[in-house]
Amino acid sequence: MPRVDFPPRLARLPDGTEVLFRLIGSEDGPLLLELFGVLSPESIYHRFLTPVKEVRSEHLQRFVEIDQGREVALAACIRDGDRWRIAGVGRYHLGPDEDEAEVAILVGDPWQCRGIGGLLLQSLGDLARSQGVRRFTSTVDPGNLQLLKFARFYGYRTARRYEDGLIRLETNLDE
Amino acid sequence: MEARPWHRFYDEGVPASVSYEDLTLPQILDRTAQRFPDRTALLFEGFRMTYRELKEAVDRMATALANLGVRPGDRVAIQLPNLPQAVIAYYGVLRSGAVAVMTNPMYVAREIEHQFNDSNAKVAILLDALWMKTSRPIRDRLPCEHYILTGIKDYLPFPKNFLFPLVGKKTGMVVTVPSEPGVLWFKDLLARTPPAPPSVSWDMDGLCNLQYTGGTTGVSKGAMLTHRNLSYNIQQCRAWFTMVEEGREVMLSALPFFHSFGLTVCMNFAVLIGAAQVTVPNPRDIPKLIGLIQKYRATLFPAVPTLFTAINQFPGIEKIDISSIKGCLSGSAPLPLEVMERFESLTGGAITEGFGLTETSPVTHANPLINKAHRKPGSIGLPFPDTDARIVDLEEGTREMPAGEDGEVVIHGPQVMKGYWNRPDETAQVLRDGWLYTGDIGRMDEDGYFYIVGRKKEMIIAGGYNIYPREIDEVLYEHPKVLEAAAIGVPDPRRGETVKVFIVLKPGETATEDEIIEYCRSKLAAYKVPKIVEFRDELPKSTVGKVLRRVLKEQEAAKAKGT
Repeated sequence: MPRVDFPPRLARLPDGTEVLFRLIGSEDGPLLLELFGVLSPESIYHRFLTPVKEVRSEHLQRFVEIDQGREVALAACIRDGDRWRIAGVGRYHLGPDEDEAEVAILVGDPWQCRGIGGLLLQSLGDLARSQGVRRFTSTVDPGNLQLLKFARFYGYRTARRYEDGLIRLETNLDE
Repeated sequence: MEARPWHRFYDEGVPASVSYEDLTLPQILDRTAQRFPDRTALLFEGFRMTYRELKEAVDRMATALANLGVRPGDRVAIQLPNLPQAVIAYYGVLRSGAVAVMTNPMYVAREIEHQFNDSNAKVAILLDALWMKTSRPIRDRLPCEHYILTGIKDYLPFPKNFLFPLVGKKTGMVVTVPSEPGVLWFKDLLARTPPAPPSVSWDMDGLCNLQYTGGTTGVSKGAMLTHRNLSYNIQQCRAWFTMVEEGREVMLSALPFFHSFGLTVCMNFAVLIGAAQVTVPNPRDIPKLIGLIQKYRATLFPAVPTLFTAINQFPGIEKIDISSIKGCLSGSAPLPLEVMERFESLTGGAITEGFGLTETSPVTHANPLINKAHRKPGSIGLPFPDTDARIVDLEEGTREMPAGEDGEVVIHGPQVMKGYWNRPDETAQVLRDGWLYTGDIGRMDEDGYFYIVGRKKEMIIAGGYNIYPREIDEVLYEHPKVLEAAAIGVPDPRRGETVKVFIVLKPGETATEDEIIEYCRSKLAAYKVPKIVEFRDELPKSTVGKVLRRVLKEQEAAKAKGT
């Protein structure tokens, strides 16, 4: 599968904040660490399904070294003085069936509920469709109400299945 | 209530709807004390107290609490094993108009700090040994103004009260308590306070208990149970147990009172029916438990499957007369058919399997007790009188599923809680239009019998306790050598499930299984402490880096199959 092409683009949130969306690269480690630093325990648990307390370099690598052709990771950056910092990350990874991909979205607590997650999901959806992906899957903690509401809000037709204490969401990208 | 398919399988004499008496628990105690003043209320190691004496002690406790500034609606924590003091304390708290916060004696400092602060308990009534071990070291972080202490020996008759300190010193159950401001003694307080509690204007929908239950987020939350919830649930039990003879039963109270099951089905039900109640602080001492059945000719014995199993397997049990037992309710975990049959043949009594949740006071379902042809092994039984239950789709929870199909069990009835204390979001999630969304996945058959097949939330059930793996994970991640951790439930012949943890150590670190277990013991109540520890180089994760507990469980299941 070809690498995706995603030139950096600017967007505005409903509250006027400017957000830069771009692909994540191997130099983003420090910015991701910085993002991890502002996550609440709830946000961490919902993203990793484990209450991890620290991120180590060997782990970080896994999130910045992109498995080209099978994985796409986008950063949502906001201005912080004269630099851009990462406020959210969205990624998908193709499954064994290449028309299906696992998706995950994470927005730092200070910037949640402002539309960043929705824009990340939209961009990921567009990229995935262009790669021939037809379905996004996601394993979600039932306590992650924000995400469950969010999936509905963005109009995705989402099937939910309970699997041993977790919810498996399946979103059809064809519609 | 309207006709439901299950009503026709009720035992003869069980109504579809109960004519309730609007009495709060302390009012029920008053009435029982009036009806059966000289009947034994409490039995413990040779100590005996009548209902008249119990009412008087309760009134003294309520007066003492009021004198300490406790006002209706204030929260009072009770952290006691099943001792006569637990019954006096509980009814005393309620009689004063305050709200009881039942607290597990196994809790360690971390858990106490959360529960006492979350409920903002004004007073705590607790065992002296627990005070010294758990609460006193963190007193500056607790909200309580007063601590009322009692020792196990306080209600032991002579010479046991005299001998106990000699034995108890070895077990850590006898402690020396320094005298400090705000620390009072249960017995002194009762001795010097008259039984003259202030009158309370009762509201059946007012708060009676904050009953804490584990949370998926790792911290427990308080289910708000009203006077109506708890009073009606024992009246529903009364309607179900048609063979009960008021003023004549002997209740073996081996289920802990701090748990909603023991609270309602042992303590409060015994008070309603004027039963003599044998308080058992340590039900794991099986020879002792069997001895108590024999000595007091116990007739009612609510318990969990692990206890029935332990009695069934006790060497020589066939030669011991435990035929006084006539009725048992089994809950908390599925009751294997062979366990039920053997226990019934040993005692000649009947076990009915039931179901409930902390959020429902707790009983919502049970199998018929008398008509054995109407029992369905493997089923949690029929909804109680006035209790409606449905199976709805797991996705939206709005569509009723046809008989035989799986979905979420939702329950409506007078025993359903008001909500979670100070947690409107979590309340809205589980209470919708008066229906409680239980989080249990089940099905209903054509006859209206319910079956539980799984859970919506990640949960481990060990020895009748619900344990949320995330709480264990949280504790493990605090360990300085632990990089990653995941707890799962693995099958255990005795406890149903037991806790196993998988640990990835930080690079260069070493640790032993014992070291991890020892550490958990200092942070978690005993039943949550992992029994097995496996060290791994990494945890299984999904492509985007989510930890997959499911894979760990599958690996365990495959291993068990292979051996």
